[in-house]
Amino acid sequence: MGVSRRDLFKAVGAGAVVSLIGSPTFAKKAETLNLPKPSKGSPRVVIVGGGWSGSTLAKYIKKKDPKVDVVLIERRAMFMSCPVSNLWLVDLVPLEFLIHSHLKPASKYGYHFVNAMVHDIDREKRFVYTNLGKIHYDYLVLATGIDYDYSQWVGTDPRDVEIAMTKYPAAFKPGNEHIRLKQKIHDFEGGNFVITVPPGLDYRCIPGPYERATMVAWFFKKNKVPGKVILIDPHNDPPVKAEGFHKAWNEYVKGYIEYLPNAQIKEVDFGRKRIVTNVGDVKFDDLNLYPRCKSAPIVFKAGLVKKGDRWPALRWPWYQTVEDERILCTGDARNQPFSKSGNTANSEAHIVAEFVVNLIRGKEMPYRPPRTLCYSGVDKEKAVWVDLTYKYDPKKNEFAFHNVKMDNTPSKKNWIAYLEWAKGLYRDMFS
Amino acid sequence: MDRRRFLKVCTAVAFAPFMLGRSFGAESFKPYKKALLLREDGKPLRPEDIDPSKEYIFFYPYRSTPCLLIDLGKKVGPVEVKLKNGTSYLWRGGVGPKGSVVAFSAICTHQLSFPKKEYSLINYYPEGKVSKLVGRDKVIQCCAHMSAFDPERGGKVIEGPAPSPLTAIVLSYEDGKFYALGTSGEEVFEDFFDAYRSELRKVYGSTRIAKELVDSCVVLEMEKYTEEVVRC
Repeated sequence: MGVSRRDLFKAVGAGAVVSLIGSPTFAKKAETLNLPKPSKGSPRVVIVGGGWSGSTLAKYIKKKDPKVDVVLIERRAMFMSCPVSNLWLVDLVPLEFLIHSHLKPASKYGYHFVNAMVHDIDREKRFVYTNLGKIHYDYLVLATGIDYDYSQWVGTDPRDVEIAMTKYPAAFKPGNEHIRLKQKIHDFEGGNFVITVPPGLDYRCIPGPYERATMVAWFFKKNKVPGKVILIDPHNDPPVKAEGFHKAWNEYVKGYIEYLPNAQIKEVDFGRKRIVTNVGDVKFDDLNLYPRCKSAPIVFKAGLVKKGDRWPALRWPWYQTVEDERILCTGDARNQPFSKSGNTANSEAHIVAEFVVNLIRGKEMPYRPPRTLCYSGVDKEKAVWVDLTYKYDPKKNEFAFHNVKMDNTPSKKNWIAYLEWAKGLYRDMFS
Repeated sequence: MDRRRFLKVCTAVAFAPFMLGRSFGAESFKPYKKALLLREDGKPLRPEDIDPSKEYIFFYPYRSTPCLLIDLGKKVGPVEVKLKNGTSYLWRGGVGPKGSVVAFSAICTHQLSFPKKEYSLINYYPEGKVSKLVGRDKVIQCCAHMSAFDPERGGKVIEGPAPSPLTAIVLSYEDGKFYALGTSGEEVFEDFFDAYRSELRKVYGSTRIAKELVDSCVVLEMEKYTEEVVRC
């Protein structure tokens, strides 16, 4: 019997998994990364993920207690913002607006910034394994953002998933995907440019796909592109800022956008360039496929996600995982039903920093929910916003939106506030 | 006795009777250069020059740090202002013939937004201009992240993510003239200089110049200073 290349990979993979469970040979060989602590007995918090949550956490843990050793591990060499990126896609802000360096806050506040990839976690011995070496932790925060779950719409054939990821990137994880999407928008010469909205509310940036569709339509209109955006939405209306988006679609970009609400995607047929939905087939000339979201692979690998779930089980209202009280999941990696957004992650991290410092000191603190202030562009120099917080009911162990305020009237003043909102948050994390 | 120590002593003496028997924290007063407030034409600012239905901007204690000047129309303060860390301090309240003129640093204590020539997101909402966020007037609000402050209560946070009250500017009213003397409360000037290093260099040529202490301040209507007053 011959052994195919795929079978060989399977065998090697199975062997590797067994060796990890039975005898972590790689672990024995991995050298400990030499990261000096403030003092020999300093407790160490390792944060995986240098996005909105992790960057804020690293700074504020150090501000609250400089004796705590904080290690921020991020696989990307620089920070690129997902919030406001829809404006960059259509040239309304420069790239410099979105990109920031971790080095200034790391040196100013005294945390370690490790540009590395985490590939495993030893929960028993409390080590994080990176490509640069292993790092011991007292507490571990997984601020690992999101991953895409293509199984619902594309299936599990790796060839199809690869097509989805490379040819039609979702572009809600900044970097390559955004750059590719921008090229596609600017190169589009006509026809249907389809954008999809994931189902539910547990996807990154609830208004993001609606803002993107609106601004891409604005871009096509401005450049007289003979085409339109088709927005396929499983919801019956945008869950937030609906009035503002409808005003834009009916007035500012009318004729350049077609909104398909209540559209459940059944299949994405890359070969015939069509999306099969319950309200009919949609032909596309180009596609921005944003599927359902799930936890990053390392959260699954650490055994923190129950079978059949997409997010880690946490000890509500706080962020410690059910499986391991030494590990917390924050930002978009959390399973609380908060808006997965930059502002939520930032405001939450201010609170979690205090929580972690108290945890180290063996103290409790009263629960405080995060806050979500979220702007969306609906035209050039016009924006709308929603501002809300959350309420936790300990008896029911439930969260609800609380104190919701919004301004659905598109205005230049909101646009100015939108940009300053982002600048302020970048200042908070990087200056 | 140098001027700075003299001021501190004067302050302590002036407030000693008030503070006796109260559980207020100590008055927080950090003296800077005594600066005369001026009108645009260079003459000293008089009480009648300050319209309660408007907001004004001046730069103090550094030439690049903006402040709001407001006539609240009635006597205000003194007030105990509590901080998040459990401490508190005494805010002196208003000055002028009615005790109604107050000033605060216009740098938001949350994420340092401040009035620029192009726009101002942090503004005073005079009587009749109701904030949508808190549903009332006579507030100072920053629309960047929706923090609202109470100018009648020493700049206390009413709502939003700001971690501390606005830094109060301590004023005096002497012989019909207004002076800025220093600050009261937590300052964010060093964070401001660090965060805006590049912008300050563009406007002032260098951060050294931006950090120069002033001994007089021209007071301008905010509407004249900035192109877009953003209220929300």
